Amino acid sequence: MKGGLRKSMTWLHTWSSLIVIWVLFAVFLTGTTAFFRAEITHWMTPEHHLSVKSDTPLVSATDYLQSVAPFAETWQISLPDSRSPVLGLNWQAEGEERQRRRGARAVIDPASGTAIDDARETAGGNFLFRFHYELYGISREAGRWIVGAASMLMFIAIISGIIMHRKIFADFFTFRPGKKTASWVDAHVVGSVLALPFHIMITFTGLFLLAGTLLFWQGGNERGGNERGGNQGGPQQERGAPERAPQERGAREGRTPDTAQEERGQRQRMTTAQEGDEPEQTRRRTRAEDNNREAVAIDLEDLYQQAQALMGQPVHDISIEKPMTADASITFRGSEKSSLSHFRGGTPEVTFNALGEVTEESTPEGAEGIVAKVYGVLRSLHEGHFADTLTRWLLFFSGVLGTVMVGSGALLWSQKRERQQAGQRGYELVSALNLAGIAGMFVALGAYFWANRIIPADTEGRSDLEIQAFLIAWLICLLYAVFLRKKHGWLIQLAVAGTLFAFLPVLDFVTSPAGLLDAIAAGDWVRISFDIVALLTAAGLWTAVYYLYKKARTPGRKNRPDKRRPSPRPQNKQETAS
Amino acid sequence: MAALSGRWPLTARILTAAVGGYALSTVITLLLLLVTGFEGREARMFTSMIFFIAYVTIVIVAFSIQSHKKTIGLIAAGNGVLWGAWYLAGGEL
Amino acid sequence: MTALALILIVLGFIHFAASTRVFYKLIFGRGRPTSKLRNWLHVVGYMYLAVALLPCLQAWNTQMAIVIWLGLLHVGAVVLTLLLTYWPEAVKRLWQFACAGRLGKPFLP
Repeated sequence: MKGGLRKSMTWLHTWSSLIVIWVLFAVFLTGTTAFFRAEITHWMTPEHHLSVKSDTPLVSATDYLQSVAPFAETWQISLPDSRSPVLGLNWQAEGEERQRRRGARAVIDPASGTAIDDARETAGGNFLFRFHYELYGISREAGRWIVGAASMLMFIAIISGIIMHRKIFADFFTFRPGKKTASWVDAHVVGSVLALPFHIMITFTGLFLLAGTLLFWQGGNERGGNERGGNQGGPQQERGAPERAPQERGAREGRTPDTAQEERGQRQRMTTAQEGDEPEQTRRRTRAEDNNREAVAIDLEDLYQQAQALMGQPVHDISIEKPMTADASITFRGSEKSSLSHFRGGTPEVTFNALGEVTEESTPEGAEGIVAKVYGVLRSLHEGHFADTLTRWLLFFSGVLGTVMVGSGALLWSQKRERQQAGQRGYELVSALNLAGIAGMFVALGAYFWANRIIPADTEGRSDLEIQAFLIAWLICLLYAVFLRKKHGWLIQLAVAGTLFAFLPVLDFVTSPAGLLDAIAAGDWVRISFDIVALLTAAGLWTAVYYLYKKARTPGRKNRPDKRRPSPRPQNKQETAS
Repeated sequence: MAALSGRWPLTARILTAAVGGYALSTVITLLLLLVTGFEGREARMFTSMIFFIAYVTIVIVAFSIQSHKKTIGLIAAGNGVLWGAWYLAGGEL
Repeated sequence: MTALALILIVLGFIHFAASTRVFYKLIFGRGRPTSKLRNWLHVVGYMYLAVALLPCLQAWNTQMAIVIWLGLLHVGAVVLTLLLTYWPEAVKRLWQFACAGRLGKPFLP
């Protein structure tokens, strides 16, 4: 009976994961990169690389805002942080309709205070992020169903995997390289068991983040599913980084500082011409006149220091209502969440009035009620919104282990069946998909980053072109895998991917306006870390190529990749994290 | 394992686990909502979390029972009884 | 703090490794772990892991500390796996000089 249970669990484990394993691999790989999506977007916007850290970003911000929008209704300033070194500014011109979600926007260099308005159009890390839960090129709904079903099967595979492996501790730390199947088993076990809590967490939370789609009977939309279910995935506001997701494009089109200035001009003309008789406009006019008479000087820098002291943590963003007037109110928001159970918001806030008095101070408590608490904590864990640099690396590291788990699992299947089933249709199908789904995925990812730098910055619709580069590279790998995989399929694709990744840093420093030395001098660690991770990925891929090559030369053995990517990457992660 | 050999029994079991499991976890979640009395946002969060735990448990159980008939019978009976209870408790079908 | 926690975690995991058949040999030479030894090593190992939570609590608030601790457990386990594979002598050294598991004389072979 016992044997029966283990057998059936093994069966369930194998097949529930196999039928979606390539989706899972893609999801895990892109999802892992999504922990760093703001950072990736930064890397992919080389125009931002020129910006330099400044001790007084606030001065640059207010100077700029004063020059372009002195009479704005609101100013919003996102200060540079560890994820993005640029200053993000938003402002809403006076009387501008509120429904426009964001008014004019500029990204400026904190040191020089000049706008960076010719940044290239790129989906950046957001593409990878969106891809990991709704894929691409199919309807949102369909994408979510596919990813949701795959996650469910993954969840089943994890649980059945635990049951079939009773003696988890027995081969906990064992890794035997260079022993064909045994190595694969080990890689799979190490990848999965050592990060089991993470895998369970990420799969489970991934499922319930997609619950709006998967639990259609819940009546998602009418009961506010829109707020959670429909919207949950929309790119949450990137801190400091410019919103460049395709759907945002329309909103910010043509709202460069110039237009804003023009608008201001118009408004002023309007006030002098004394036109308009609606009360609303009268009010506006009066205020503008007030403004003209005297701008109230507010020592923002001082308030900033006060706010920081009050909250006991760095300020992340500042919003100012009615700036430069006597009824201004200035709200500072902290950068750290007070509790994990908020998945959004949850950061402390302090509000000052124009006289510099504290009018409001809030340190949000955790969510109310046990259900909301558990939900909030789990959700924050998946999305990593709370995460500081260290935690982000830890999550990324666990994600890498997950990717290793899925990848090694896929290869294990064909490795085990190579002898008996080679040539059979099912086996060949899996082999082809393995090749395209694993090595091809790396090629595609590399191609995506390359496309970012090769496609000229002012090309029309270039962010779509980048995505097409990703898809085309993948398609080529797939075709190659289907028709030519016997001809060193793994060797060639891994080598291509390895080459792409190995030269990414070179490409970066050649095509970015700021070279390597500038980056080090400016302390742009986000970008340097990206390049280091690219190099490590390349090292991993080339190790795999090396082993394959060695094996291919050993006569009498068919080549299977000895994918040793797991070992070099984790080592590094740990170093970088500590 | 004997029960999983053969195409028809296997298909039947997969369908039972997938579809029957989905229905069963739905009704379990609905009944639990009734018992706990959660509403609105809280209910939605609760459902999202409980449903998948129920589903995965049912699928695992559905595949761990040796006898083929027993599995299908159990899931069908479970569905029948619980949906019946849900109906009696005033829920919509 | 992070480094300290990580070191404690790796040391803790060494106890678990020592209690498995494969790595028992590495550390004790020949033989197999008895169940008494295994229990002892597990208790000590868990204690190390628990103690590793303290530096995390020192540096972060409770919730973050737990998340970071869990993350470090993953890293520590992988680090130890790699050490055992590619540099077993280092593990042996660590066992000799930094593991409290050695103090349970009555349980050791």
